[in-house]
Amino acid sequence: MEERGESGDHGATRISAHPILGDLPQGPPIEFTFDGAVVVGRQGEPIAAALFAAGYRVLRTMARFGDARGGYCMVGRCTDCLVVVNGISNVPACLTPVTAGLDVRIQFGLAEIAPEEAAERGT
Amino acid sequence: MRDTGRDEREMLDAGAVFVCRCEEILLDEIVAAIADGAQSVDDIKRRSRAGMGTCQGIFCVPVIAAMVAQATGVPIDRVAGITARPPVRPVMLEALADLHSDVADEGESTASDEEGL
Amino acid sequence: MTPSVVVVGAGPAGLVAATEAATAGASVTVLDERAEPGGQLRYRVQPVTSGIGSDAERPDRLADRLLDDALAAGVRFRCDATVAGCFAGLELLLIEEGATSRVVADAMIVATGSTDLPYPFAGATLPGVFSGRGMQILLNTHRVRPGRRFAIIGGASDAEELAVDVMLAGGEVVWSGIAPAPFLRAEGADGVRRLAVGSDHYAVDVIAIAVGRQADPALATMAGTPLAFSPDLGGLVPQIDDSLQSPVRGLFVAGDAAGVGSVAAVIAEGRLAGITAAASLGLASNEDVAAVRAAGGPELTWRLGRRTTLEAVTVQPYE
Repeated sequence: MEERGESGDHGATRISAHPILGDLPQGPPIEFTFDGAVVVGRQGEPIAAALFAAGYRVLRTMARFGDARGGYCMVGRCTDCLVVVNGISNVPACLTPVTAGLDVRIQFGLAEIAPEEAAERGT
Repeated sequence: MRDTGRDEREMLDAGAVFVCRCEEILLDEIVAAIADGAQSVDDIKRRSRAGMGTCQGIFCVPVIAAMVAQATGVPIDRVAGITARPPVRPVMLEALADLHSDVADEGESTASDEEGL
Repeated sequence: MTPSVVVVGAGPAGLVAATEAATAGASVTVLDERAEPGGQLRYRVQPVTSGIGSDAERPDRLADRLLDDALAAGVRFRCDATVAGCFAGLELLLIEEGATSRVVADAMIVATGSTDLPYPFAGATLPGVFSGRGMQILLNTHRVRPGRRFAIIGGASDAEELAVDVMLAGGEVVWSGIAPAPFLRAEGADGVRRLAVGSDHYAVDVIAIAVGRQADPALATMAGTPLAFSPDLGGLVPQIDDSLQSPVRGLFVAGDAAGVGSVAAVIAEGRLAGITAAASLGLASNEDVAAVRAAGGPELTWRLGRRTTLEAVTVQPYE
């Protein structure tokens, strides 16, 4: 299977051809931003899937020790994929579909975005 | 708010093991709670917050129960009793502010949708 | 008025339970938190055996078949509907599109499935480390492979199935096994880069923890169903009788939520729960229940038998 379009040196990719599932249907691209950078998602997929496909790994940091997390259960039960979307904290990236123009940011702790971004936004 | 990242970070080393992923409770803390007299999963929950986070214990209770059973010698089925509390899924507070009744039998439901609590 | 049944969970057990109860004459609504019915059958890709009608078939095709049967029987579905709690009188707290409501029915079948077992080890919370089912959903539902080289923690059928899923997705399984947790260490700065297994090191991009599953009957427990510990059924399971009835009146539990099992086993059990719920509402006879139980085959007999020897753990119902 050819590995075109891998992201990051860890080789993240969309699975465009699959022996059982077949070819990945081309859909309209959905553009949103992650910490200000444009990410192209697929119609119907959750934010986490689009971010992983684009090569991102860190979705949030934790309140107590500040350790980084990047998703775990993919069904909205754990706490590893909570991101800030359009200023709203604690949004599960694994359950929330991508929509055009979303402003998604790494969540720091229980509800924060990075200090630099907060200064930029005047909050 | 428990944003104590800077103070407690020395508790983390390369070998640190999180038993409770949601509340970031370390293996060493569970061990200490047991040494301190915790006899059950509920005891550990009360002392450490393990099991009280987003996942409501699904990703830590089996481990904690096994640890308590092993340390106390009590069979795991005596140790692992837990109290399931609602909500078992995260709920936005705003959503709880406005509850209305619904009935599974749709033939009856249309009127009661508008009635509120 | 037609007796009503609410089924929580639209996986294989919930789907057949709903169909059975509706066929017996109940007004049935199925609630599921996912966007479409099917549960585990929507994210597993390798063929499964259902015990009904066909040899091994693709899970999604089985899901479609079970869904068609349910719809034909008049079952109603509410998807993207999350049940957050179960209160006295089997009243459910439901969340749909951010709004809450309450749902009550004459009988309730909990078919909420299972979750991955945890396996804590050093570095297990690094970005790039996923639960086994989480990885299946990412690969098979979302069609995203979050890295190229995989380590799979686990030594039984779940890990084996996942290893093949990874390979079907074009990934490489660098290491797979079930070393004791103190021997495992995931390392990396921004995300996992290496897995140490004892003194051996493997360069990996992704780690999936697939050590097995546990029942997830939280709603049944909250309503007051006692739990018991069964190693055969995956750990703590609700204590229900051989008709899948909880001591809480009107409450039934079926499928993985009642103890982890095969697709064939949970389908047989779902059917029994459906007919038992219908019988409790006067819509079926004891003979009907016995016939369904007998038709469930050895898998069902084994599962029902496992529970009769269990002793309850004391559990506080939520009040």
